[in-house]
Amino acid sequence: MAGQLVQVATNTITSAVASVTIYDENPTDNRYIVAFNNILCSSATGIRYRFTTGSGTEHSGSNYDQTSRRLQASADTDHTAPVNQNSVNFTGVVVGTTVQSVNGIIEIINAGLSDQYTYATHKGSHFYNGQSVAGYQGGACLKATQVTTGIKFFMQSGNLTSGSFTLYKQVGS
Amino acid sequence: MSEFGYIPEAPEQSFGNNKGIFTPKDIYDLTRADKYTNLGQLELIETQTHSSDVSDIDFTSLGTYNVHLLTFSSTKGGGTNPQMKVRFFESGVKETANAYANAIQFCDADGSSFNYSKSTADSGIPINGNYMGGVTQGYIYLYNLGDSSKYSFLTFQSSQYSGTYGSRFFGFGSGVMKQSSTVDGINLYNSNAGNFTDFDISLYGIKEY
Repeated sequence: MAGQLVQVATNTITSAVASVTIYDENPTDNRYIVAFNNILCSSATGIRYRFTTGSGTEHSGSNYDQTSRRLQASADTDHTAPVNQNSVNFTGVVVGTTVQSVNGIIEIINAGLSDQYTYATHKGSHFYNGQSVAGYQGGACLKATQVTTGIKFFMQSGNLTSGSFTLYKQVGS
Repeated sequence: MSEFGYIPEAPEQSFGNNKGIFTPKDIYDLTRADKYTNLGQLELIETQTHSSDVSDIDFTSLGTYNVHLLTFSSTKGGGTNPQMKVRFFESGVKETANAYANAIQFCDADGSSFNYSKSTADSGIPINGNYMGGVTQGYIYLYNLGDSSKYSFLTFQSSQYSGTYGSRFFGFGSGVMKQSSTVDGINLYNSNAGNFTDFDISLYGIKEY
């Protein structure tokens, strides 16, 4: 019973790790969705992502642009749009208290097109710096061509200590 | 012969790792045990459509998922300045206190407004502007609903047409219920005392293995 949204990889953190990489071992599609929830961390920094190619090899060059709107329940909204970064900060500062977890969705676009840039949209819901609920809502682009097979998550500094990342492919896209 | 055509012992079965020859009963039993490889991880839980005007739309069978997706289309509210909001049930009891926080960006298609809405103590989480007299559609991702030790979060995007004001609006944002509890239901309500006069809403679970 083939569906349109098919899980291809998942990683549930059971002890502190510096990074989590999930990728499709049989990349045949152009669109992926990453669902993440209950993510906690060991330090008050941002969570970042990079795209991978092949068997989870990260692209770490300074080729990532992003633009995001930061919304926060106790503060004015603002806008962040860094260019030529070596990764994408899609959360701002998060603090790893037990209940203030990081949750959200990333959609990866053009993943299987070797002659195209890889794009993503991200949306999140978490507590900004332990203050109040917030979310980065925006998009990013890897300004280099590759077949993107997955994604790597890591903290700006410190570790990821719990939570779940799951990669789905949109079959037929 | 033992299960799945193996002699003398059947191998352990799990999602993505099924071995053997399966009868319809085997497939049924393994599927119910989440041990059969049924590809397709967006699972429809329930669809509700309008048959009569109602003030609340409740989904009270959520299944067991870390992430849910709720889609809504052709949704329309009556009353003055209707606005759709989300609340949660905790162990069967609807939380109506100011336990919710949210941060939302609303945009008007004609560029006349770019409103930022936020609250740290609200009785629900708004999903669209308060002009739902037209029609609204969009989707909501919900996180950690069944986890008693976590806050329940959501992200959403919505668009709407205001019949009253003749405008198109777009909104996106984040929300949370700021207390740890087991959420076992989702309540959509028209915050301005009117009814829903039309709706087509589906709730899905996003399966993990």
